[in-house]
Amino acid sequence: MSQTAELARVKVRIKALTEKTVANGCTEAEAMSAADMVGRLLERYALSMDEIEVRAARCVQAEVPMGGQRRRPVDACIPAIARFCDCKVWLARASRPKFDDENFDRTQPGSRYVFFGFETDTVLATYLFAVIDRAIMTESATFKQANPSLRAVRLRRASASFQHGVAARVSERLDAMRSARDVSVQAQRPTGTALILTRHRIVDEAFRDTNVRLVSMAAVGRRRIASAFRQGWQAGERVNLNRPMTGDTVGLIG
Amino acid sequence: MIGQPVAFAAAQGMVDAIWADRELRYPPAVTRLAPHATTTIACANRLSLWLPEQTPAWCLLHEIAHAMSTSVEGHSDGHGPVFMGLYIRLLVRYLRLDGTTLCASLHDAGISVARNAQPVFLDPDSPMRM
Repeated sequence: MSQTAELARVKVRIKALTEKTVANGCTEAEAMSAADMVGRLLERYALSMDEIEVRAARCVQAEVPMGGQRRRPVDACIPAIARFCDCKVWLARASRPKFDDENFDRTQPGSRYVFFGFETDTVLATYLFAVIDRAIMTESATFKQANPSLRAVRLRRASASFQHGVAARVSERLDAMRSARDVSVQAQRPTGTALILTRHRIVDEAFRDTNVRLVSMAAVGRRRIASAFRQGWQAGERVNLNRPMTGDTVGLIG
Repeated sequence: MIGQPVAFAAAQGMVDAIWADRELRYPPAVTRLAPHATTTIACANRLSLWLPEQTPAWCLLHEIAHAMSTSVEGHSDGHGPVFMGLYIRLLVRYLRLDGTTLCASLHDAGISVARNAQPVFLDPDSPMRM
């Protein structure tokens, strides 16, 4: 049994999908949908991007505003998102004005996370961040409603612990999904982890050319109120990280 | 064995086994059917099967036949002759249903069947597998 023609068509399709980027005029939703399908096809057919001849694909930077001066619980998910999307990530701090600096440019961007990788991957990373951020907000609101007895400092601490719990669980799930994906690819490919290694090598090489030098930073927050953290952990289980069901497949009645 | 309802957790293994038994590569992935789906029992395309917590065995084979009769570009035979040919072969092989009875029933109902149907994604020169 041979499926050579199918594999060739899949490669052509992946290549076409990788052209669907925001830079090429697609909407963010179209680019996101294309990135999703690329990921799915690569996984199902155990292909590497190298085999699709996207070695020359440009690595790009995608920025996610930090949303203030202080890091938030959702920021704890950033490393897991980057690992899941095969991106590098760093925090670009905004420069602060000196007290007597009247010429300070206040229009420059604030602190932000920068994802670096293939455009499809960075789009996925920013999308995931938005999904998780929104989920944490929604779950926090539910948590506050469910605990009307909490007030003032206690409420703030419990809410923060809850959010840390959500972020910790989501991070763990992302890492588990990444491991499962890698194992799946490894099981299907005779060449083992070639897909993962190739993607990492391309991103690493492109990253070296950027002259960005990274330093490690402390982890975000810690558990203060164990019960709130546990509830957050459970809420993190509910965050929908699955790929969306799209297209006319929904209409196929079994 | 396969006459019993198939639990979601066991479905991927079942699909992989059937796929391998048919000497096919790149099996579709089993994904959980959206919990708000009320009219759809299950659905499938070349890349994925969406299944509920428990799936009747005939339904799983039905979806596998869909996966076999749909191209990666999304072109599907629907419930056409190719699908029917594949489905019957799966029912006969894995549920031990009588092929002659099934074909006669389909004939009576005016449903056409491609008797030598092969998965649509196989190369044209692939040897026929019964």
